[in-house]
Amino acid sequence: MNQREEYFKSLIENAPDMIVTLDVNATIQYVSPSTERVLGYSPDMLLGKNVFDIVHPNDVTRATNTFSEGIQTPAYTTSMELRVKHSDGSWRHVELLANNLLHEPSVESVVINYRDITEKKHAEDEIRVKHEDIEVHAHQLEAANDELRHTQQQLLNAYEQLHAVRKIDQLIVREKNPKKLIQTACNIISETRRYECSWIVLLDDARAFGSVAHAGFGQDFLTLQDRIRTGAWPACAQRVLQEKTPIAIAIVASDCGDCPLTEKCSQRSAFSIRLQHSEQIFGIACFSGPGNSTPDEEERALVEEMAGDIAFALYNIKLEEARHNTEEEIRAQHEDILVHTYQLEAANDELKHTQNQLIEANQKLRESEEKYRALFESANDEIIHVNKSGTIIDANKKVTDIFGYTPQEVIGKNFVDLDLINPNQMPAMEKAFSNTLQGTGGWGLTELESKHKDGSTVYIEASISPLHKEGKPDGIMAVIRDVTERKQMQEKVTEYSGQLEQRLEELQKAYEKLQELDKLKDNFLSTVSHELRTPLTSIKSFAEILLTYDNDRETEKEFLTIINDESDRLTRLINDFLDISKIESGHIQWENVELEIPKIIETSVNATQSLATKMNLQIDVSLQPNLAHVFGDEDKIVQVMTNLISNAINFTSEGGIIRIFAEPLRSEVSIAKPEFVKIDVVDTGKGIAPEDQEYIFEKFSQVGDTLKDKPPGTGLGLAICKEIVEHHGGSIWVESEVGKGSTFSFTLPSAEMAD
Amino acid sequence: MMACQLDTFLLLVLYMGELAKSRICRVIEMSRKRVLITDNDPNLVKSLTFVLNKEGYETDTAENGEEAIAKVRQSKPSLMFLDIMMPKKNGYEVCQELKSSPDFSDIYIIMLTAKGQEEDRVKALESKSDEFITKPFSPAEIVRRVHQILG
Repeated sequence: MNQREEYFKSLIENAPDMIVTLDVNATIQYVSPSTERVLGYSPDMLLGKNVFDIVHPNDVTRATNTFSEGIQTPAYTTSMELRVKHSDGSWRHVELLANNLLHEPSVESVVINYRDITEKKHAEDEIRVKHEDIEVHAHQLEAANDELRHTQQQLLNAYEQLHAVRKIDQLIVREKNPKKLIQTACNIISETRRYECSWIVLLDDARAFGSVAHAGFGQDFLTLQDRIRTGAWPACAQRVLQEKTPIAIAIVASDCGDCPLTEKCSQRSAFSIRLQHSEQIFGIACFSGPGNSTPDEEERALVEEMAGDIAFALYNIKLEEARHNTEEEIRAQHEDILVHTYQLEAANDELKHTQNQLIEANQKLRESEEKYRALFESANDEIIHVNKSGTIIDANKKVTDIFGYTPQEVIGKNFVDLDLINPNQMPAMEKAFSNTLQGTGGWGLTELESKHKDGSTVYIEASISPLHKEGKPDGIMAVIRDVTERKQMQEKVTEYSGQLEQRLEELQKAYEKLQELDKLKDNFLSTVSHELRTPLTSIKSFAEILLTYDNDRETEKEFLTIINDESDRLTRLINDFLDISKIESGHIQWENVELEIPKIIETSVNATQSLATKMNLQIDVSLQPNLAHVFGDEDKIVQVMTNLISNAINFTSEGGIIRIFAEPLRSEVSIAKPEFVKIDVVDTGKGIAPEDQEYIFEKFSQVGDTLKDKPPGTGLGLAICKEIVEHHGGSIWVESEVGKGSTFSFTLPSAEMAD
Repeated sequence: MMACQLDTFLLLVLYMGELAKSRICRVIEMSRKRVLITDNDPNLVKSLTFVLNKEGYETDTAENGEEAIAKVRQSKPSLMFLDIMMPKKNGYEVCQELKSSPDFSDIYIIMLTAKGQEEDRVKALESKSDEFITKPFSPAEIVRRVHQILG
């Protein structure tokens, strides 16, 4: 171990670099022995002292700042150059590397390695002097028009000559803010060995007080600053401002007057210098340093150079600002242009889009046109385009199917000339054409009769609509359909439906008749009941009266007569009911023999003669000779006759005449051949009102209000007569006038005809 | 003998007088119970009139509806026989008209019908008649009913 320690100790002590360790208060704890070689202090002289005691006053601030900053950070390492006092009082330049190992348990100190670079510095000074010569020479040689390069070259040279100048150059060239620039310049200048204090005042365009910076003067400068603000420049500055030379330098010290900085400036070598670049004065700078040595030309040049640099930097800043402004303007303009460009592009896009749309629309139009053409050609209807003058412009091939013409045959021809439409319908057609063209109406579906090429009739259905060109009707489009078949069908359908309707009507009538018959049947039964009960009531009542009460002979006879009459009536009623029921139900056996009309009339008159005589009536028979025979049932026909005669007797007042006529009824077609025999029974009774005439042949339709007026009929006689006559193929009717009498007539088909 | 005969005669006269008196009274009483017979069959009217007169009732007749109403207004009957099938207002109409009149609604109305169907019976009741008799009927029965009704 000892050996090894010895080894390291020897290494450290003989190393060209020196080592100092410091505690946290910057007290020297260890000094390597080589320190004595460089700085003339034995380690004992330094141990326990504060290290900053031997640091150059100008470097102390920087060193202490760095130290206090470094001890905050473990393992902080930094390097710096500073001046250290030699034991003989001179200043040595050292370059040091400090390492914070306070937190390293084995060290617990700040370790500083340093090296004497004074010789190097001196060598640099020498080089700088030499270089300055070259620079001056170069300056002379350099063309005045290339000031930029010249200055740069100078700065480059200065960098090599002086570390501080280099720093100024580096810093100020980068600096964009004038205020910071001058402050940095002041700091850098103050850090140099030669100038410990400096101030710079900038002038604005009106040569008034502008920004200000200072270093090394401390509070003293503030007084000056206040003065300058009021325009009271220190003498040095005034002189510099008044100098007409491009670069004015005042070497102060001698004539500082009442300058507040006199104390600091006068003891030192001090310069006041214009910060000027190409005739533009930016401000004034003042540097002062220790020592009374008169500055030599080199120093002057250096100062000039520094001032020039600062001025140039300021110039550059101004230029930069100007450039920046210009750039901003350009950028703004550029942006404007960009905006315009975008607008143009957008407009262009829009145009392109529109163009595409147009192309597309065009394409669609073409497709649509093709589609319509196809539709037009393949339409089931004939479509004809006619222009204003009636010429057919276009027609699809359907024209052949309907009219027999090919499209080529009709296109170009006048519609009227083709003679397609029935001339009767032409005026209406022409009117529809002109209305359509004038926009005052067209033609909806209209059925027309038209002519085929072969001359046959074709039924068409046409609709007309206007074709517009530029918003005005320019022609007509007619859509035509062949409806011949449909029309024929329609006619058939109409015919059928007519038949159906008729049939339906018939059925309806039949139904109504059935209903009526049903009702009639009910009424009939009801009436029959009434009619039968009425005489029965009389018979029953009077029979009981005769049995109950004692009456005189006359009354008895009267009542018995009533009973007798009512019994007769009842019998007639029953007979008549049976007759009509049999006839109506068809349950009757009709005789069908050849009969002579006179004989029938004779039989009937004989049967009713007694009644007539009783009523004091005369029956007058008047027959035409050679009456045709008839076929039929004798009893039934006699029944009709007696019925009519009895009615006539019953309705005729006493003393009247009943007339009976018989004659052949010749048809108008064949005069020679009588077809019917007509028999009339004429009375001079009270007649029948016209409204009653139509009812008297119905059952139970006796005319008259009460039974008093009523003859002893049953109300069925005429109904039975009607049934019988109609069964024989004849007819029965009445002609009557109220107050004058009635004529009942009936016909029977003559036997010749019946053959 | 004479006295006795006289007595007997007097007695007979007295008896006859009483008898006459009672008959007159009954006639007066009956005359208040007038019966109106309405039918368009003259035989029916004749038979009813005959029996009712025989029984001492005063009767009146009408041969149609209008005449019946006129007769009622002229002299209000206590009882009325009313045929249905009549010209100029049928029996139903007459009955309805009388029954809805405050003056005549108390007249006892017997409807007479020759139809004898259920429909007529319903209609007769609807017209608010008091009774319904179907033709043919027994005059004795009619008399019995009239006695009952008129007391």
